[in-house]
Formats: sequence, structure tokens, C-alpha cells
Amino acid sequence: MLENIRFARVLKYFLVVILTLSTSGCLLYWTKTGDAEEPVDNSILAYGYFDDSEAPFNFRWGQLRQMLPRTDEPFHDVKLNKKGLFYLENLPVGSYTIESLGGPVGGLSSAYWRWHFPDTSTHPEFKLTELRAGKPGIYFMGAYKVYESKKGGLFSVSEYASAPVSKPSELEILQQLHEKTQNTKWDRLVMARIAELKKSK
Amino acid sequence: MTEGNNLMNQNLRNAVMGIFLALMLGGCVMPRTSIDSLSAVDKSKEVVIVGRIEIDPKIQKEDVSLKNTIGAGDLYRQFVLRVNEDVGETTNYMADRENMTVVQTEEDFYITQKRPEPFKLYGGWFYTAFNGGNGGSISTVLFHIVKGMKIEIPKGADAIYLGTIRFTRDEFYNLKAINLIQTDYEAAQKRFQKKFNTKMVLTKVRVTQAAN
Repeated sequence: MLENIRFARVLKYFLVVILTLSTSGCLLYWTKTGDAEEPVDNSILAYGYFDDSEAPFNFRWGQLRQMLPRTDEPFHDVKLNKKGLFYLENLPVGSYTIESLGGPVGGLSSAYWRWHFPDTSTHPEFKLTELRAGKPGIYFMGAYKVYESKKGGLFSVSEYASAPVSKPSELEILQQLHEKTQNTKWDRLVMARIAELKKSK
Repeated sequence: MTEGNNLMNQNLRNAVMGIFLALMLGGCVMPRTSIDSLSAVDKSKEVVIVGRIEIDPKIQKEDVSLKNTIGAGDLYRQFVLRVNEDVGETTNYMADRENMTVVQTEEDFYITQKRPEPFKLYGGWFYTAFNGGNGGSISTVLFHIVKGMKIEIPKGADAIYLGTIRFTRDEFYNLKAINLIQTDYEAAQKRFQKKFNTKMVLTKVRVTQAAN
């Protein structure tokens, strides 16, 4: 009898939380942290890195946009490891761009950020955010960070900007990626790229 | 239904859609659209600018991702002109609210300009995604004409031929070239006279850079 009452209380609190979330306009999100799956024919794996240590949000999701071949479902949710790595396997050979990376502000706030990188025609340093993959393989889309570019005051909010970063290196990012691909055939390509980068050092 | 009615309904639908979106985005400021009748033009105070926007390669329907929207099927043809004021590289929609002018790509636009101020064009933007659902988002691409194009309004002109502005892009929507094509004057004149059932002649003018 006592256990039934406890269960009812837990259920009640759970329902209150769900109702609060659904009526407050809160965005319910799901962070994809899974390992890579086996490659399918004519596909690529794209990977990159995002440093959220100075960002106003915790990096928890992101999307690549498929530009070519054309599709009705161009947005692909990336997988990540919560240490900065993001990647996605089994994308059709084609052209992709990083649509946005984002996540919640954290704490008690239900606010979130969706960060878009600048246009590469005016900011060529972000060229790696655009990927033209002409054949199956693994492709690096760059490492980036968001930082406070102008400190906010009493009556103003902080402003933020993004920039490509050289730390971690592609080699270090690949070592993170290896943990996600090690049980698949993708790993041969990952290890080959690691060997190539070590050789060129 | 006649072809004329079809065209009129389509234009009306497009205009309504543009207004609806602009109201959502622009703080309830009504956007301007291409005119459908010369009777709406006060000739003593206004002149009609005749032009066309082309994007090469064309934006196809599947290039604009639509989620949780109703009646936005023609959004892929909308282009929001930035006229008369250069707000720079910003993609903040509010920046355009005073001069928001919605036109359709690949077809002539007919928009009014107050005399005697010169008409200036700084490019424009278009949608590549619109999600109206929970956590929804909008993606747009800006084609900015740095320093702008300018037309001085000659006295006595009622309608002015601007020509076709062709934006060439890559698959990532990076702007690769901007060309002003003024070789279709005769055809544009015929289309203008037929559309408005008028004998009014389009005035050719020199297009210059808006800023030094």
C-alpha cells in the first residue's frame, strides 16, 4: 500500500514536469552520442570539433545541411561526444555545410542557442564549413570556437563571435573519432588518416 | 479559370504570404510588393521601377526546406529587395522593415519610388529554410550589393527600366557574381504595356554606383 502511494507521488511529479515543459514553450532536445554504424555504399563520414568552453551555451546538438544531391530532408543531426567532437556517418556523397551548432544555456533556463557560422564569401577562414565530397571517404569540416567578443555591461548583453581554431589539431580530433568508429569499417579510414597526419608532422 | 486569373491569384497568394512572413519577422510593418495596377500610383509623387531578379542556378522548390508551415509552397521564389538604405551585411530582418520589398524571382517586378529621391538597390535576401514548429527556425541568404546601384529619377519619366539583376551563386549560396543585364528593354516594355494595358513608355536611365 505504502509503495503504491510512493509510486503515485513519483508519477504525479513526473507528470507535472512534463506538463511544465510542454506549456512553457521549452525545446525538448535529444543529444546524439552514439557510436558510428557500419558504412553504406557510396557514403561519407564528416567530422569536426566545436569548443564551447567560452560559448554562452553547452554544445549538445548540431545539423549539417545537404546541398547536393538535392533532397526534401536536407538537415542531418550530427552525433557528438560532449568533448567537442561532432561527426556523422553514412551521408550520401555530395556537398554539405554546417547549418548550425547549438545547445542549452544551462542552469534553470530553458533558453538555447543555435550558432550559425559566417558566410564564407566574406569570411574565407570558415571555408572548411563547406564540404564538397566527390567520393566516399572521411572528411574534416574544421575546428571552431565561440567566444565573447564584447563584454556586456549593466544595460547591455555580451556579444559573441566564432573563429576557427588550430587546437585541438585534426590528429587529436581523429583520436576522439576513433573511439566512435573503432568497431566499424570506418575505422580503417580513420586510422589511415591518423597515420598520414603523423607522417607529415 | 483563365490564365490571367491564375496569374492574378498566384500573385495575390505570393503577396499575402510575403506580408504574413514580414509581419511575423518585421515587427508588423507591411512590406511593399510589386504593384498590380497603375491606378495605385500617384504619378505626381511616384515613379514605377521595372526590373527583374534572377538567381543562377535557380532556386528550386526543394532547395527551401519547409516544416510546419501552411501555404508557403511558393516561398522559394520570393526575394526581399533591400532598397534605398544600405544596412550592410546584417541578416537581421528588422533592419529591412522600412524598405522591405517582396518580389518574385524570374519575373518582372514593378515597384514604386518616391520622386525626386534616387532609387537605390543594395541586393536582398531569400529563404532557404522555414520551420514554424516548436524550436522553429528560419534560414536566409543575403546577396549584398556592396556600395549599391543607383538610378536618378528623370523629370517627366513615369516608369523606368532598370533591367535584370543576375546573382550567380554556388551550391552553398556563396555569391560569385552580380551582373546587370539591360538587353531585354524591348521585351520588358511589351510585358509592361500588356500587363497594365497601357501605352506608357519605359525610360532608359544610366545605373551608377550608389556610394563612393
